[in-house]
Amino acid sequence: MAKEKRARTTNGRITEQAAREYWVDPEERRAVREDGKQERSGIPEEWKEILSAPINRRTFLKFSGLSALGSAILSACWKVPVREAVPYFSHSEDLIPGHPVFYSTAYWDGYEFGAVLVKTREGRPVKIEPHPRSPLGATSPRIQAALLSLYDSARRFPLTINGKEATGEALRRFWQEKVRGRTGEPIWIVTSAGWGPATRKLLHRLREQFSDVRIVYYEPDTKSAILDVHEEVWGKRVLPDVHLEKARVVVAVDSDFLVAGPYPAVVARRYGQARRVHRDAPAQMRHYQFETWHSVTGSNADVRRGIHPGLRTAVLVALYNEVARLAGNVPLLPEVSLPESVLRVVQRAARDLWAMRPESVVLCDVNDPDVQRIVMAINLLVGAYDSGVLNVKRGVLLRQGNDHQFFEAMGEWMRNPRGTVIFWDVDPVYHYFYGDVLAEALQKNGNLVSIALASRKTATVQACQVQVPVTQWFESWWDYEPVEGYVYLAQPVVQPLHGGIPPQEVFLQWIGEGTSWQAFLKQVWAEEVYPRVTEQFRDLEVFWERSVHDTEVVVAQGESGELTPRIGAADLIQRVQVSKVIEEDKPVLRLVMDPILGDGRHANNAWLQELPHPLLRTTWGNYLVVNSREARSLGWKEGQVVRVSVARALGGTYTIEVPVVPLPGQPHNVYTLHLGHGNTVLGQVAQKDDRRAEAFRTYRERNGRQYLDDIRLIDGSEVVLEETGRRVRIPSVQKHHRLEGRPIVKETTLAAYEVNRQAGNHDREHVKELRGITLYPERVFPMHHWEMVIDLTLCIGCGACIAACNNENNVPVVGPEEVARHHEMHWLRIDRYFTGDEDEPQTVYQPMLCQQCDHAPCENVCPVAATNSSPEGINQMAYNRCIGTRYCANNCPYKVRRFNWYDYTGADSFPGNERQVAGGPFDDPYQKMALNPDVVVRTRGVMEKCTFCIQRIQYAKLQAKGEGRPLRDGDVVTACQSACPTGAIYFGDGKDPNSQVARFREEDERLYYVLEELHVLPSVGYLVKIRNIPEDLLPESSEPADNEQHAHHG
Amino acid sequence: MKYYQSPLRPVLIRGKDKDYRKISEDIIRPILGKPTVWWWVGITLSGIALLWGLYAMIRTIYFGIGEWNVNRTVGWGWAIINFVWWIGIGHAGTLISAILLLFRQQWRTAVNRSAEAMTIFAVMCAGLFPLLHVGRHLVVFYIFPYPNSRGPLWVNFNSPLFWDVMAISTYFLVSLLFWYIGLIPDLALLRDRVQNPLLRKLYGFLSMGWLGSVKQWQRWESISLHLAGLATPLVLSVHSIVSFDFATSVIPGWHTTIFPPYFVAGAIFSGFAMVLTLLVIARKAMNLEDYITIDHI
Repeated sequence: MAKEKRARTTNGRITEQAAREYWVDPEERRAVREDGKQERSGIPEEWKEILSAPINRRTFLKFSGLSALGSAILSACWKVPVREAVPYFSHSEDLIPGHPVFYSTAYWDGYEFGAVLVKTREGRPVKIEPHPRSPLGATSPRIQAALLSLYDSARRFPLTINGKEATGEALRRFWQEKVRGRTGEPIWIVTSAGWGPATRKLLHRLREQFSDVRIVYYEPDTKSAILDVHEEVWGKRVLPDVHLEKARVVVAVDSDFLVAGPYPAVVARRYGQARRVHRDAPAQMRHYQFETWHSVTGSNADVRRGIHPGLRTAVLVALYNEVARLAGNVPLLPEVSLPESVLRVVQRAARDLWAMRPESVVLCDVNDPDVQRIVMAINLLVGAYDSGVLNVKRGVLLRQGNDHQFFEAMGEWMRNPRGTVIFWDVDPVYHYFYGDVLAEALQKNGNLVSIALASRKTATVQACQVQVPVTQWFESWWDYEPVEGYVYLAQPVVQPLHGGIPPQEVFLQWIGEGTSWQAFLKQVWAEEVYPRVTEQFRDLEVFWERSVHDTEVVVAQGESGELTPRIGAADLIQRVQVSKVIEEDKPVLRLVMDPILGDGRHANNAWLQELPHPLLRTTWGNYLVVNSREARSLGWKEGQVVRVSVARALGGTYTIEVPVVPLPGQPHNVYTLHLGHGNTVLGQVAQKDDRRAEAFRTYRERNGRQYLDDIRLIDGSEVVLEETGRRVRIPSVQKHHRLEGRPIVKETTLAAYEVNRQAGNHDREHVKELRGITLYPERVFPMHHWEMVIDLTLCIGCGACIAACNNENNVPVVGPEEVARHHEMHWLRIDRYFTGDEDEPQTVYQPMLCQQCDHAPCENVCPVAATNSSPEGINQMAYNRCIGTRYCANNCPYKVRRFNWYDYTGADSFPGNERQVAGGPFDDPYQKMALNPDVVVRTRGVMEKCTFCIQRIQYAKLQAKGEGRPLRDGDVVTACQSACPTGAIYFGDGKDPNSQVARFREEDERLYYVLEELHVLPSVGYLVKIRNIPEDLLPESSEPADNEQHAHHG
Repeated sequence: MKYYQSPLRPVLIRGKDKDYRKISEDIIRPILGKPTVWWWVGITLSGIALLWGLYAMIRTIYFGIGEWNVNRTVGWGWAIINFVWWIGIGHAGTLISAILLLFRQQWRTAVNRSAEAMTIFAVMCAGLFPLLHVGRHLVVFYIFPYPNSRGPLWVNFNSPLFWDVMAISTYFLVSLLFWYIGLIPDLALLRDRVQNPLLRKLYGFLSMGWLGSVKQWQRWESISLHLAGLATPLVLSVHSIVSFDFATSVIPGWHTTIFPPYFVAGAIFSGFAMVLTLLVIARKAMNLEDYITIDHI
């Protein structure tokens, strides 16, 4: 108890950290101290003395007394880390040790939203799961990996005022003197949107008290132009909620909607629903994509054309004109010329759009209002808003970022620095292309008070005069309204780990409210939300409990009245000014959001850094993507270092040296860099990824407003690209891209599948005949036989399954140097194969994990019988029996076994040989708390692999046993299956004839096993990928599945 | 003629100015005499190589197999190549001693002892590398089928790696026996020549009371023949079994029936080459040109 008191007094925070201290051993804590980080309290003074002095027999005896003689002898020769284990003083009623408790809550980090369940064990969150009931319950890799960001000890920073550490009281005084005292001066609150009723109310109160409060929504992945045009047409500044499940044709132009956006995983789930092909009534949404780089979304399209940015507007103009001709009675835009190969697709796409109306839609993320007007006009013509494919009645309130507003505010801080600016968990110093100028302005201008409320130590925090650590998601109460009419109440699942109080509480103090944030929240919900849903709940208390339990509350039942566009397509198109910005054939730099890291706020997350880019297969860094054919003609090989520099309008040049990665399908003359990298202030992990591309962004003027622009002409005067002559090794996870003529991935077209259900899978007949010819007796499985089926049609390659697997199974992070040596440990990988023309390849993603063979080739070669087959068909590893001959990995045809080349986890008994990766879950004493206590941590020198989440199978069995019932299909959900946003992964008991996997195996002709001819009898089946390619646009080689798959070196 | 030459059998000593005594002295000189300069050069080079190897081993054991550049698809590297190589060259010794003995090739006597010694050390090296290449050196004894309290938990008798363990230990034992039996008369010679009483005791112990009687020679010949009969199939089987590590796996390029004969044939070639390489140096460095003649080479 004494420890707990000390924790309170030294940190000045009300936390229960002392309780969590028990997990950390002093040895590690000391390491943290020596790193210069803030000293952790909770160590008794006498222990500090022991720990700081070199332990010898005498000092040890002095402190521990004679009773410890036995251990003293040991300690004298070997410094054994002291581990404390303190039992509960009193048992919590709800807490059964070893039993997980799930909390329903929501995640919103300013970039991405998701309703989630957080699994906690003994009070600490250990896994994030998608919320099973909420329509926004789907997880991307970022949300899956967020757990590591939650524990990240690098995000800790002290409350600081003008460079000096301060207390909460000092902050209040500062506010009274410096902000409240200067009435009439503006207060900017720079934040991200999506707040719920209580937080909005709070900001409203602030507005009432201060005369000039300006709320600026700032987002790096801006949707400004879309918002502007929706405001123009629908009178509401919202994004349309994209219900792709209702769509039958999607034409996307420069839109990476499957991996970037306010809730990409939810969009991906809806996309999966529309792409799923049912055996009895085959139908599939058709997906066209025109894009100026090779995006993950584009790689999933049925027909894709990579285009030069100079042609982008022309594609939309042509598309509009084609649709308008079919619609008749609307004005056309001036004709444009397009290459034949693109025009053909545009015409076909327009015909499909019109034929399938109103279940068709055009999606476009180009931040240009003229372009968005054309998109809007097409969507109005085809009726995408009427069918609800695009829903603006319940528009999306996330991502309200307003470029123009931010640029204006920025100008004012520079020109006329006065007032106060509060950055609330936004990081423009990193994200904004003149971030360094902004940082300078904030530091220089004494008249402008800058305050950062932040949950992690960002570049913006460092630039501000007042630095206030606040809680983040999962650490305190939050409320959100991501979609109009859906409010979310997110409960905390853990006490603040790294200090800080809820940001709303800071505001409450500043406006002089005496209540706590939780009380305020409860009151606002009672006043504002409860009256709208009174009929659903018996009383207020029930309402509150249900809201906490469900997280989501639908406050607007049914459609809220009619909403008609203020302006029709015909009038809208008159306002379009088509201006050609970039000549075709000029080299351009195209900046895009990273599909894994997002906008870079998770750059210090080692799980995400090591998650391979779905297309490039690279990890840990930013790479310049070049068309592979073009790279060959330029003589650039993978890893060739290129210097990219930009002369900046405000003076100076910004230069990065970045290695080249050639990629098939990248348009010629377009060089892509990813945003979201180089956020090095976040911590040690982020420092390994130091190539920031944000500085290359720029803005364009349209109708007197400014919009962020991600395309730069490489013309030699502004942006320059030069070779350096150096070459580096790229930490890439897929080097071998060839299938060697073997049918590892199979695909067909919807048209072929309609005619013959076996399309693309004819060769399996022969293999099936061979199945019976064997010398081995058939294996009998008395109880269960666990099987998995993966639908290749639905896998979009996003990587959420890998992130989930890493978390669930304590998979170590190995760092870029080790990845470059192919020592990465991911139990589940997504192989990417290209087929067809090198410039317009089609992509297949194939999740590859242990196939749990019934005749496993790994098992019979292990000399010590460390790996064997369970009676339930699971190929299991006895880690403590393994001596590490690696024969099993050699003999695995799928190459899914992973060897602990080094002591990545610190589980070895020798402390000196641990492989420090800087920031992996095993290096940071806090992040070790993210480990799953149900899964053992593997030591150096043993083999490991996918276990089909055997701990989850066991848990489900025990649950069923406790309830006195047999296991049902769907009781066991593997981590990858639950994380998959599109539902591509099925898992279950193949012995149960009614289970989904058994039905796939028995009934679906699409099912095949990889390398089935080896007769290893895998338990993981794949369903042939089906593409909905129109007949007239089929690639030259008409039946891609039966041809040899061509692959290209990426 | 300083010695008795039987009229019934062909000439035993053909060299000029050679007799039994001279031969014994020439043969023993490298052991009892002062080492030559070339011997010092050789031992220094070997010593440096040994230290380098020790350094590499310590790094491997302390930090892990990650120190080697093996990876996910190439799980075995230098260590297993070394293993196969050492086993391969180890074959020459047995081949020269056993098969040539069975075929009564008398010329083998000049080189068989060196070849056998090379076999012993080659097999020891071969055994070392698989032990080094495992991930967990402390528990490597799991690979031996010893009675234990874990069930009992036996090794996996299906695994070619376990066959390896058996094959190599058998091969090592048989080769060691063969070498040692052949060495007994020589040890007795050393016992008789050596001045140091301690060494004389040691050699006396090792020579097991060898007197050189006809009965002893007869038994010696008999055991040599028997051991040769045992060792000859080993020459073929051991390397076949080593090749099963690869041939029985499902890896394309490894899974092939040519591997056993290929390994054996390769081993015989490389083993002879190794013996040759060593003897070419040895006959110069140790002044044995009269015994290891150009004809042998």
